[in-house]
Amino acid sequence: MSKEPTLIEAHNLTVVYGRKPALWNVDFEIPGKQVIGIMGPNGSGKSTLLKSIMGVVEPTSGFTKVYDQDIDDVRDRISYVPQRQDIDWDFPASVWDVVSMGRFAQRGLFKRLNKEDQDIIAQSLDKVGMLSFSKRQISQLSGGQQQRVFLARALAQQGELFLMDEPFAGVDISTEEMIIDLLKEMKEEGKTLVIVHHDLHTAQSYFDWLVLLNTRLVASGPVSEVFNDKTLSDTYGGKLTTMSKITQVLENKEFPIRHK
Amino acid sequence: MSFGAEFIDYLNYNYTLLIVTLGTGILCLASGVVGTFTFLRKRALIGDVISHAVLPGVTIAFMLTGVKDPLYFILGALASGLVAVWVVDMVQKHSKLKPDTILALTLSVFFGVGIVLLTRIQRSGNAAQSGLDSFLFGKAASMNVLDVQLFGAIALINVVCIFIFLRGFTLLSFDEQYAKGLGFKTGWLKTFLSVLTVLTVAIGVQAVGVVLMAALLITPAAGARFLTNSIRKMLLFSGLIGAISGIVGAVISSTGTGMPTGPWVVVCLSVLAFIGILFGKEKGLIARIRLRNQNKTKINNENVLKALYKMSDDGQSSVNLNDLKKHDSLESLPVQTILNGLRKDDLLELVKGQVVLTEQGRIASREIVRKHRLWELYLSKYFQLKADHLHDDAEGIEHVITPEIERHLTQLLEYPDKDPHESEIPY
Amino acid sequence: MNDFYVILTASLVAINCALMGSFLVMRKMVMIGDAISHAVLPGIFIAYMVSGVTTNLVVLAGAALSGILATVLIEWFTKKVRLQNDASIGISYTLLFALGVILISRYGQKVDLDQECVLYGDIELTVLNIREIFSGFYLPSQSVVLMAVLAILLLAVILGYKGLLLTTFDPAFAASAGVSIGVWHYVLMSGVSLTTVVSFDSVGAILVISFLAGPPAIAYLLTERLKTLLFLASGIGVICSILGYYLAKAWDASVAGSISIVIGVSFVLVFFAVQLAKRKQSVISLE
Repeated sequence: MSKEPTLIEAHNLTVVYGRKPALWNVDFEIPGKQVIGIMGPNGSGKSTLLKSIMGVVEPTSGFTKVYDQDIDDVRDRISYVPQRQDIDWDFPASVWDVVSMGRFAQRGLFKRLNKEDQDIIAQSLDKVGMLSFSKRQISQLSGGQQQRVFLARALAQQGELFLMDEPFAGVDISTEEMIIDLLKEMKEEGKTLVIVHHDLHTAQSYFDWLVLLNTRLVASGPVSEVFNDKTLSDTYGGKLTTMSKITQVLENKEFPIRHK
Repeated sequence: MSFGAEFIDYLNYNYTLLIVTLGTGILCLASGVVGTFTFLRKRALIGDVISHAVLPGVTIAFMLTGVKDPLYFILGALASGLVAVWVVDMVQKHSKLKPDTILALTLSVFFGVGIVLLTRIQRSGNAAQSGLDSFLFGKAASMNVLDVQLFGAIALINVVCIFIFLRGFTLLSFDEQYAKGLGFKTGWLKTFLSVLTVLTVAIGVQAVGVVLMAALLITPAAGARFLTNSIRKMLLFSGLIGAISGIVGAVISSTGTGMPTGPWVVVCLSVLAFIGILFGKEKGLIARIRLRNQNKTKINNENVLKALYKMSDDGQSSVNLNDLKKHDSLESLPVQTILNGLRKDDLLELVKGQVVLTEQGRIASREIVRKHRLWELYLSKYFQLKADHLHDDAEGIEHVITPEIERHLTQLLEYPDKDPHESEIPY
Repeated sequence: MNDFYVILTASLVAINCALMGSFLVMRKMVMIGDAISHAVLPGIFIAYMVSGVTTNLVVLAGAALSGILATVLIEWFTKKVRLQNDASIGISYTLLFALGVILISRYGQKVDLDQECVLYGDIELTVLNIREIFSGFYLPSQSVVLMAVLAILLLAVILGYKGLLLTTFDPAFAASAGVSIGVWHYVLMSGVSLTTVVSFDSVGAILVISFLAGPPAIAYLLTERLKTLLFLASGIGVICSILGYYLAKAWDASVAGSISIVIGVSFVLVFFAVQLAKRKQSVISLE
């Protein structure tokens, strides 16, 4: 598995919101064509990591690379599924409208979508079992259906690398099963999947590679090597109070987060 | 007219002005105090809505009674202000509309109703209407002494109520759920606070007008927030900022024709709040810049001490000044200035181009090296970080580690003696 | 003819506001719109001082800058001063508005600006300034300016539809696709600023809020498509303007205020109608 070349790389990645570090000096190299899980407690910077890989947030220092290139040069090869909870689902749009946004990303904002785009949108919807809902207003969807729509939009982007922020949060069992099948299928097609995940119990069965975060990088490696009591207690245990104390001083006393 | 009569007139005029000015000051004081809770509960925009929404109440009161009686105005304002608050709550509960839309719509429609009624009164040529204009931008001078006494009395009652219920209101602003859990009747408290707020607005608009009333609730509290962390002091400062602005605004407005009080009060409030924001002891912009500079000095000092420690075998030997200046870690630092500072603190001595650490300096330099190495060890033990990145990280954090954190680290790492690079951790 | 001129002007204000307001409502930024509409006052005063008229689009665009200034100020208060957002809005716009009122009350006579007009405009005056468009066809200068702005806004909304939609619905996804959130934010803020500036003469700085918030809010309760919402909001705005105008005539009161009342009443009616429909639906689904 790890013979694959490096696909995602973070170097000294630090992201600061206000004065609080969300990610701090994170370094890793992850090979592609596998399912990668990003895990850690609440507020440990999982979403931030995804967003900085995707170039949604600007790093305070350090950088990330995908396919050994700057994100701006490879955006069209990456699909992104943001957190469902961040969205106002009362927005006046239909399922079809939302999924077609995946094509905006490919076609640009000023070009019309053509027949090929329409086909891709329909196929993507079909893949997540939502084609018959395409005219449905998004506020009428259940949590699981909303997640399917978001997945369809990512599929419509036709990327090779999929970044997903908590796709399993608050979905029904059948959706969860559907997502897992989809992930397997995509992995077989040679895609790379990066998933922010919450549930420790399922981690071992879902992922090939695991990134454990707690503002800093606790561990990154194949699940078999990384998933053990020590790393988990380092990630979730109370041993990291030192880190939170340091962050507090940084936040309150106006210290620069990196010297120089 | 004799000189004596003229003098009495003059005194009378000044007496009236004095009363009106003081009265305005008291109204604004009350707004500052009550507004503190509007601010702390993050309801600035609700304050805005209430301020605009009292206009229809005032005009309706006038239309119904046909007289300019301040008591009716207050009742009208209270009624329409409370209705607006209720509308906002109700629509929010029962529709998918977001709060900002509801606030804006309520504010503008209530104001529209007020304007329609006002223009109707104006065009019908009712002579007594002249006073109603002052509700738009405020005109302290249009109040008579009796009005001022009434408004002042209500303002004082408001302030007294705030202090009687201080504990409840504080809890409500800080953590509503918790207050509920403690068995406080939060519903009643909230309603009571709303009534006090609307009442404050109802009298405050006499001074500054409906359009700018929101500033009178929020700006003093925002300024006061930067001056103190104690809620009592915040109430005091906020009230003071309000009172001073009210008095100054009223005086300026009395000097010229066509000079509404409201805008001047607001400018004055903003200036005072801004002074608070700039000069606040802890949170003020200047305090924060100063803190940042202090940190920079601390970091520079500690970096020089650290270099000295390493070059002098734990401070045993002296170090050549030129060698020190050339040290890698001190590149582009004003080493001479830093050394002068350290010498003043008795941390080192300069003798013939040689630097010698004093006993105190030795302790300080050892401490910073210890913190650096402890941090490297901590990082390498609990996190996955490349060995060559450990140093850079510790370079930043060593300055931040407080004695308390250091004790904590030492215990956590079980009193280690070697860092990850096998260098000794000095104690 | 005068009726027509006033209604035309009011309707144009309503359409411009509906276009911009719909996006404000969707972005939960209506109160920022409120702040902008207050904060353009100093800009408008300066525009009057410079040109003496308010029908010069370039000068008006300059005045709109003070609206943008307000958004920058709000951002500065929130980010640099670390003041809570609602208070940042409250402080910024009241200060700018107060400065505007002071300028007008001191020097207003020189430029023929009246304090109270600031609040609710005077749309009836639009008929005093008529311009010949082509032989025999006259329009109020005010509405010519409004039409020009409408053209600009329409162009922006049609060309920028996808950008506005994407950054409004899902900013994180937009950024991930390389769409700049900041650029579209300022496109919209400039549009809102320009809209409030050119609406100022007709409806003033405060009642423009009911035009920005009202029709889009009503339309939002009625439709579940963004495009429909834009059309519907514009239509509702026009209808409310017409009704409001005749109401004002009947009452002999401010036109802008009356339109605002009609908007309010329409909202209440639609709100209750939707509540009723929902209740019926839930009864049916229970059966």
